Amino acid sequence: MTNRDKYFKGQHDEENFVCFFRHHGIVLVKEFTYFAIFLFLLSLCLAEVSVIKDVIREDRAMKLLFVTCFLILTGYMHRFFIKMFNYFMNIGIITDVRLIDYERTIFFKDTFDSIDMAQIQNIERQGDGLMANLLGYGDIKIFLNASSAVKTFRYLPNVEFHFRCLNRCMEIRKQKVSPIAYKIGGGPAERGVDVRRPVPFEGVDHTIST
Amino acid sequence: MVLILVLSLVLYSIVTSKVISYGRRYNLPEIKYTKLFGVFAKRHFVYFYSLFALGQIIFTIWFLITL
Repeated sequence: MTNRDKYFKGQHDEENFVCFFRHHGIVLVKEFTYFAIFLFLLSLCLAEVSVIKDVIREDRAMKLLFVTCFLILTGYMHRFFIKMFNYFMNIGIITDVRLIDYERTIFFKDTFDSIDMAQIQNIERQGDGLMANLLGYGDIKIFLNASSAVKTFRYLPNVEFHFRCLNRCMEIRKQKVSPIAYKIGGGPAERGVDVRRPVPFEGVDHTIST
Repeated sequence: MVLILVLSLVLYSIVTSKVISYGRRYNLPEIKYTKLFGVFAKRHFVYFYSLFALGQIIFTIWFLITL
């Protein structure tokens, strides 16, 4: 039995899903504040709906104003929910083979970026600020072996867990890809060895771990 | 108002169909840290969205009848 497309479209046969993450809810606090104001105004309008109807009946300009307000409120409602769905669609997936950054929105964006765990050189965790430490969110920076490119995942919830999880997956993957190179000198990444093309170690006893 | 309602329902149906098709392709197990504020999953927002769309339909029809 294979794992092909088991948890997500594009999962490989031998790839095991570990976990996935989204942004922390703090990124939507502004949206929720505006939405609370929207709900307050809506409830006020509904409470005084008989007065509004009386005003609209008398004046044509007021009718136009009401329709405009109705249009704006409808548009705002859709915008809010689309933003919520965009939040849920924008995910990162950790598997035992790779790290996937899937940036997706309902209408405009569909970017699927995957990084092989063996290509990761270093992982950095950043949790600056009072709120970040209180709520446990932060950023994770991924430094790659092959290039100077840095991939940053911002506002990750439970950042300590994801940091540990990524580190463990990276270690296991590197051991699988290049077990000999990994054994000597505490891992190939520290010595700048390209794990995809292991360097032969002549005259070195591979059983001795430094 | 009827035109606004129709356009709104068209947008609603497009968004929900896209969300549902996404859910079929990415059937990932939700835990506390993947939910919004540890509580809300995607399906909750689909319900809320449906509720809002239903409320809008009822309000518009009622308003048009009584005005």
